[in-house]
Amino acid sequence: MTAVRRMLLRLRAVFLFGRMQREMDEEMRAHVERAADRYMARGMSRAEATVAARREFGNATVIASDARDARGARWAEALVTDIRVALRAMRATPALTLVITLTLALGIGATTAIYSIVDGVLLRPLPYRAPESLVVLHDVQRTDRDLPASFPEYVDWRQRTTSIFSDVGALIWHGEVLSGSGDAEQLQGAETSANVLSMLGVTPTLGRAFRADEDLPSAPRVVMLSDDLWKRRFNADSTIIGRSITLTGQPFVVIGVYHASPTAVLPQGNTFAHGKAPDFWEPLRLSERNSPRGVHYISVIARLRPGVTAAAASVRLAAVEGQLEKDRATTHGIAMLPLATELVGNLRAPLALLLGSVVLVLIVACANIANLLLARTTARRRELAVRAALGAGRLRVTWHVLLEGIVRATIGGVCGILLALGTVSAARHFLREIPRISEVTLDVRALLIAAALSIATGMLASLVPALRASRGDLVSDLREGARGVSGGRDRVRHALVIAQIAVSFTLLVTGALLGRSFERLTHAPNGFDPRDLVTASTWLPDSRYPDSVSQIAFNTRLGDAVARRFGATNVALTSDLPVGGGTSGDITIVGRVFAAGQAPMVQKRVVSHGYFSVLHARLVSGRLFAAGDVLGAPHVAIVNEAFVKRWFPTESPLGHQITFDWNTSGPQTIVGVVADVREGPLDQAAPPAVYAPSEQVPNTFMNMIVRTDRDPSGVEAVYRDALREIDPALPVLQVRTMSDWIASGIARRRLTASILGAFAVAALLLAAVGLYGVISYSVTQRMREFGVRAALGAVTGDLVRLVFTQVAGWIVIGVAAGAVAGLAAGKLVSAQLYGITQTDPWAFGASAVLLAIVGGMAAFAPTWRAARADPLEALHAD
Amino acid sequence: MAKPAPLLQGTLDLIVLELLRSEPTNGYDLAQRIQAVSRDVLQVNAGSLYPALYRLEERGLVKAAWKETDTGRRAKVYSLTAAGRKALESQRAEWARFAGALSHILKRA
Repeated sequence: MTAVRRMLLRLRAVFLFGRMQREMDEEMRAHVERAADRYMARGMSRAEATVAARREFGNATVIASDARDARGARWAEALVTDIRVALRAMRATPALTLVITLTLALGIGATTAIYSIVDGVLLRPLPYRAPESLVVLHDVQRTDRDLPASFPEYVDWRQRTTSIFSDVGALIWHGEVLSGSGDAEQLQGAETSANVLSMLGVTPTLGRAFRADEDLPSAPRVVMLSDDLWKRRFNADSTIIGRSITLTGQPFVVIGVYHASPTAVLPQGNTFAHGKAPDFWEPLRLSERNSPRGVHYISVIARLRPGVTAAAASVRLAAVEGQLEKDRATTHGIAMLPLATELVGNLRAPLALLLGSVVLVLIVACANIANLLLARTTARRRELAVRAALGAGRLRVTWHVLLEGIVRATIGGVCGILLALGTVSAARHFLREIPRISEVTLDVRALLIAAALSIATGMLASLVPALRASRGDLVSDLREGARGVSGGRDRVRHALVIAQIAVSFTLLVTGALLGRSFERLTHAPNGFDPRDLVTASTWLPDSRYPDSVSQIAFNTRLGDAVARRFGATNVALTSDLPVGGGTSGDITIVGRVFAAGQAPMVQKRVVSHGYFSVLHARLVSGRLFAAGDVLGAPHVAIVNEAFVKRWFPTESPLGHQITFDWNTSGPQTIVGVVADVREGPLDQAAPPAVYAPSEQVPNTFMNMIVRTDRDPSGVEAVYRDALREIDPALPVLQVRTMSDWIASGIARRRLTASILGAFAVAALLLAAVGLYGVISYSVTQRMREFGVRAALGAVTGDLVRLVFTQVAGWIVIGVAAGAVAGLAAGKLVSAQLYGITQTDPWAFGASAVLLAIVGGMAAFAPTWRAARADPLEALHAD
Repeated sequence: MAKPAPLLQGTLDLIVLELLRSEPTNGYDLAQRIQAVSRDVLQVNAGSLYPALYRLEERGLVKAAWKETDTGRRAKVYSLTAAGRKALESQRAEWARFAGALSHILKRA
């Protein structure tokens, strides 16, 4: 008990050191004052009384010291003093302190932040039951890979793969407008086949999940709500089960509530890109009748049967593919991808590179700290030897050095944590379009590992020479003096610096390759001018807009209403936005015969008359759509140059007829050819496309494109007003600028490029810091040599050259080694490159120049010091 | 006035505890009271008194609190704890035995 008590008091003494001191001072001052009062009462003057009282009291300092000892405060006092000494030592070497703080901050901060992001976005398993056996099935075609499936295909796949998959389900992303209680609100959810929820392991927290027959077109409308929506809109009222709510004008019976994990992203491209969980699940009530074979828009998820490996599944899928080819006279194949790969892309290669870089940057940071502290402690050997000679105990000397290390490490570590926090929150802010990024938090384990590693390195590096010094190799250390440095240790130091340069060069090159690809991609010709474009969309329910006439009438009316505000030449409609996936399907060309299943596959677009002029697309030949191209008039179509190159390489397509096989009756005559607007992903060549006029061909999902310098909210207000006027029950979907839409399509590339770029910058800074440390140390050691040289007639230029030759040597060797590694790393990311090769001279050259500049800057201050070497001073310095 | 006698080793703690038992008080008054109660025979200086007080406080025999005095000064007032009371009893008994033995020896001489 007393031991514990004493320890507590001692701890209190540490923390309340200042307060205790003040209290003791006050108590003793009061004592002296009271004694003085007594003397004054006896008739002394105040001055005499004070002197007498002080004399009576005795030596206050000695008493205070005795008193403190009695309170167990000596230990605390010693610690405070030691920390003060350590802080003074740090102030005395500001450059070293700055460099170590920077190194620790970068080493701990950058690596932890980047690891946290990579882990949160890419590595953490999906929050589904047994996520590793979940796969996604795609349609594969001659020209297009990874198409969504059509409904009949999905049915075929499900029926014929029962030996491979325990479950096959369909899913599409779907918007609804909730109205009835409070303001109408746009929701985003999913329509799925009845089995998808149980396949993913999503169980209702209230009510029930879908029954097997609820995804039939004839089934009554039911819906499951996310718990978030349920709390927000229905006050977590459990009587909601069985009640009817209104979604986009239709009654739906609520059957259940489920927990929506925000990390539960689902497949289907950009719509899920914000990492938002679906607000609701509805059964996908489709049939082959309302969803023909040519319309590809369904994501197919499947779960591998236990014991079936991915490789075995691929082999059996190929057999199914062959069977389907015969039975359905089709060339569409099946491709299988793990769900995780589908969601974040095949990032294995860049991921390996990223995680490798985390380790490398950490090693470089540790090497830096070791390097700097070794240099520092070696330079202090004489000081330590003197201290030991004056009688400081071995423990005391070691303790001092260690404490200095601890204080430095603590400051650097705190900066590192702040840097990591800042980087993570910046990433969450600036990389919003990356799936799951909103869930990224600082990984505490990674933080602890990085901090422990770099701090331990620092302590070890400072401790080893200290132990040596305290062991009492006094005579040689005293004699050796400040020049006590061994050549071997220098070589290790230099090798470390060169390794650092090589690592940072490799990362710079990789970052530059990806950054340049990204840059090229964002500036890739789209065939249209994406500036000042805002898009918005809505969805027409089949039930209320059942036929061509009503759908066409609606689309025309909406377009006109918005055009009244922005001008007819600035408003266009299209069934799919450019630079995305889009809807594709087969066409036939009248008068040509294609083998079964060999019919041309094209991107199909239904667009309003103004589409090409609003996008600033170029007409190559023929004409654009005109006012006469309406329902009832002869069917017309426009094709793009890719189409012409493919199927009309030698003749003009104008006047030829094609069948669209998509909600149209009879063939369409090609009346115009336009330059390619990118109707597919940015990083692929423009696909062949066929356009039909929206006043002639109906479509239930139309995107509006408005050319305006107003921001999206201004467009949204107008769009909303127009909709309300025409049909208040319809939702306003996806209002955004065209630039945002394009950016979301290449978000994944942006993430990889940003992360690697951040690493490259961190590594570059670390290399600069290391370079500075080593050169600075080396110059200090050689000051006498420089002085002698100056005395012998060397001019400033000679001295500068002396230092810079060494630095340039290191950089050249480092860059050469880094270039070799860069070529290997380039191979790893070659799949991610666009428009450049992995040996892109620009990336290599710019990286080398940047490194040389930064290296030169790091060497500048020490070189300047060397150049001003004073012969006299140098000769006098021991 | 006779020269004040030096304190016997180890007796200061006992004196402090005894005086604090009758009345909690501050350091200055304690010093004055030691002198007064012993009829000026014992004099204790600040250099011994305060370390003794802190030692007793650390051992948990006395506790201290800041109080306002009649003259308006802030003073640190010490008082006995339960443990202090117990320690006082045992030390008092020990002292009585020691003093008895000592006077017995001296009387015989």
